[in-house]
Amino acid sequence: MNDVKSDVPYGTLDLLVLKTLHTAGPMHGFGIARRIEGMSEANLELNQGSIYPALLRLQQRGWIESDWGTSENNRRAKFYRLTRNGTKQLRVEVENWERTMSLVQRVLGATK
Amino acid sequence: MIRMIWARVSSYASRRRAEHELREEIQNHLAMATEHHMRRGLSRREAELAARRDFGSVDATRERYNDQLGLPSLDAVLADFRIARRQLAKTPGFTATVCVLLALGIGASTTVYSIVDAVLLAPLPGAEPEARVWIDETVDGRQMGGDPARLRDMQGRLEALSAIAGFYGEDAILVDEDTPRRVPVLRTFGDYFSVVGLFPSRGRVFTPDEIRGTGDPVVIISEGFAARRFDAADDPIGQSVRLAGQDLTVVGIMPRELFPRDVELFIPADPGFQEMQRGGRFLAIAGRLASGRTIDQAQEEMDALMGALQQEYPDTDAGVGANLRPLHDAVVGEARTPVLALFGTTVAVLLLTTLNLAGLMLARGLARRSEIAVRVALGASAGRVVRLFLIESALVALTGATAGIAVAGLAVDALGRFVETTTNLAGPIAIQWHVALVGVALAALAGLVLGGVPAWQATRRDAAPALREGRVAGGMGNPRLRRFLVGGQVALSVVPLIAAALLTREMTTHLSKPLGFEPAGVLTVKTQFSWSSPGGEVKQFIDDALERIAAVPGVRAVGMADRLPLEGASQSTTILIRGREMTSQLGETRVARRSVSADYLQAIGVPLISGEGLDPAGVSDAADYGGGVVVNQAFAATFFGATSPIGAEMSFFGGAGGRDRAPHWRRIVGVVGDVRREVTEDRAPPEAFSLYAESGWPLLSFAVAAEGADPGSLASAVREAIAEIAPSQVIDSIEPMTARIGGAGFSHRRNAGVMYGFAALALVLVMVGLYGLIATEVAARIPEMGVRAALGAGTRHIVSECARHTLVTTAIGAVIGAVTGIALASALGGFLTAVEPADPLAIVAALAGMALAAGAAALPGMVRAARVDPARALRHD
Repeated sequence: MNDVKSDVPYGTLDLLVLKTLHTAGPMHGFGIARRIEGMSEANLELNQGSIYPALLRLQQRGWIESDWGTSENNRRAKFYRLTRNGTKQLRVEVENWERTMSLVQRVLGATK
Repeated sequence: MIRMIWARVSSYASRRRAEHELREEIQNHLAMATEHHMRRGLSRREAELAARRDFGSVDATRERYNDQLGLPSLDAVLADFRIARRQLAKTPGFTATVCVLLALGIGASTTVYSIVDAVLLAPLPGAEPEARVWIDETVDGRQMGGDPARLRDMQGRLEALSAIAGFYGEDAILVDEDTPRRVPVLRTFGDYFSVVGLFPSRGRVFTPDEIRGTGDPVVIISEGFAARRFDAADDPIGQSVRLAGQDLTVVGIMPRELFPRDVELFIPADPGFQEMQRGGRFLAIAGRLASGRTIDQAQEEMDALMGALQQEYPDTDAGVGANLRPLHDAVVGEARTPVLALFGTTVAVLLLTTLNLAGLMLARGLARRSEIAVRVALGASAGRVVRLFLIESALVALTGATAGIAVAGLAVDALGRFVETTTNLAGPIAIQWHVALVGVALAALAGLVLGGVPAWQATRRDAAPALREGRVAGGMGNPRLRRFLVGGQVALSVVPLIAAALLTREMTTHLSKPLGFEPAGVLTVKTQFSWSSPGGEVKQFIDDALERIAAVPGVRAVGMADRLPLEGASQSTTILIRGREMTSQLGETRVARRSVSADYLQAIGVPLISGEGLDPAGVSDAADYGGGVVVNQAFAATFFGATSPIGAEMSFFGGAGGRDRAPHWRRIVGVVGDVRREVTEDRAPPEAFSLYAESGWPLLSFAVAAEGADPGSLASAVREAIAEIAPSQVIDSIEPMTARIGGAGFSHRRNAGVMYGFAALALVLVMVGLYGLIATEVAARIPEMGVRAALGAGTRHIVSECARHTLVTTAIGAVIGAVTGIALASALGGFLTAVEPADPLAIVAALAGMALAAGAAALPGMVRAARVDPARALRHD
């Protein structure tokens, strides 16, 4: 295991949030942050605070919605969930991401 | 996209709630994270710290969240205001400079625009103003006063004009108050009120009989006169007003808005004047276009009429014409040239201010690139940094603009009073708020754009190089932009400098010319009669006054003239010389005719060159036209060349349009030196002096030569002497000739004074601008100088490079400014009579002034650069 943590690549936080909400269902901000960190097995350097502007951005685009609810520890928390548009957008984003990755991989493979 | 915008807009509406919710969300987030860490075995304190570490900067999150929300929250803006205020307080020099700059720039432009607006753009009062036309009579293309007889022809024979009226102004003496006082009267020929479209607000207009001067003696009074003369309880209508020699019944009261503005009484002209034979030249004439007619149609009709009159009255109407123009143009026309010059200068000042501000803001923004880089590196968002700079700019702009409006308020008050007294304005001059707002907007725009852009650019860049650059290279960004700003400012400020220098040259040139008389020790006294006063009455008064004043102890000599030197022309005519065939050029040469008393020329010290003075014994019979004529040297040279005119006989009113068909010959008895008639006149015109006895001119000027040096001490004795012979006679002014001469140059000095103000303003502005730009550049380059010095190079190279650039840029700007200034001066030719627009002395003076100012402005920066201590410079920042 490598000790060096990577920053969240620019522009991917939105994708990670969408994906998290897609797989784990409605969730509050802390949960989303924890989940992203957990999925990356602590390889990712995430300022948890930075997901809030991202969440607002996604809401403004209509890809997610939010409601106040009660957390597992009986705290008031805002729960975010994917909208239909958000589900569609996730598919587009994933495709884009995979296309980019395969392109990069091909380039890297060719120069090896 | 639309959805995003909508979300942003609607989120703004609910932003307070959103911010509140975020705070709660973050709190809960941190609490959950703390619990999470405690479950992993950390103490509460450790868990809290870990939660915060994981979260990152709460402030940065909130800020980015707010950025995403849209417009900044009030709290953040208030915080920014505090920061901005601190920043400005840290650089008091910059802040004060910008404030002074805006105060002067906005103040000056608002003031001048307010005056221009009142003089040029504000309409004269009266109904359907665009239908009013001004009618100038001409003879052979030269503008003349209107003739009552021709006015009668116009009134009866033109269809395109529904009404035509003539008028002239005079002062009447009101004798039914405690002390007699002069009131300005407008004497009307025809239906004046219909022409100007102003009617009594109470009472009635004149009846047709009254209009012709053949009805009962009536008067229409101004609102101001009514308030002063009558009790509020009394109805002035039907009351009587007693003028010297005339009782009038009030039939109407005019509204507050008047044209001309300062008239108090409107009285129909005497029938004797209205029915005058052809040859009078004293009327102002105005008309009103019939509905549907244009001024061009009226002009065509007028041309036809004038052509017909030339045929009908070949003796008196040869060469007559009449030009029509809109009344407003005619009334404001006189003030137009100086006011336009003033306006142009203001535009230059406003541009100068804006450029100046641009330079300062830009320099400041560039100098603070490293500060911006630090802020960005510490986590401030781009929006936040730009906002901070914008707020700073807005704060300075606001302060400066407030000061500017205050300055404008004071200046409009002071300058406006000057202008009101010199032009025929419809209303008082008030500050034009929309101009002040334009000025403020311009300043704000310049400040905001130029304060915000560098910050925005800086945030776009990677912080690291900016930080490095800030430490070492410094510099002023784009040198071409800097040079443009410096050159532009210099060019703009050279324009008013040239104007001021030209006006100074104009004035000194005029004032250095010989006067032709001896003003010291002479007291002048002015009084007047009505134009309709019988000639005999005026003559009797003059005779008595001369005799009585001569008897006052301390009086060496006393004389009377229709007008004093340097006060312009009075009467002018063409002449005939007995036994000479006048060439067409001489026949048309106009001679200024002066009606004087025998001792007048001697009293004001005009030298007798040859022959003798006027002989009062020769005019015992006024009908005899005797007494001889004294002419000036210009007259002798013009009509007689090298030969002596003495003994020759001449007659006034010789040429076309003359009143007297049969010449009345009078002998030329003497030649006197030329006397300056006007301040701006290049050389004296031909002038002929004859005795006053036959003249009907009612404006009287007495010149009293004192035995001692102080003529002022005679004033009260002279006043008493006049009161003895005519108790109700009002003396208009009594002052030493030297004071009067000072007043003659007054309008020139005032114009020059205004221009000096602008030139000084421009100099101050350009000095502020140059100082700011150069000082900033030097400051920014101090680290570079430190490095150079540390590497063994002197700082001299940098200083001289800096100086050279400034010099070259200033020189180019100055040349452009000079060329522009000269071009403008030639375009506004009316301004200058004694000097050429490209007067070398004026240009040299203006450029020297500019060079001095630029040098003084650049010096502190240069000195600072030359004194750089390398060790400290390297530690700089």
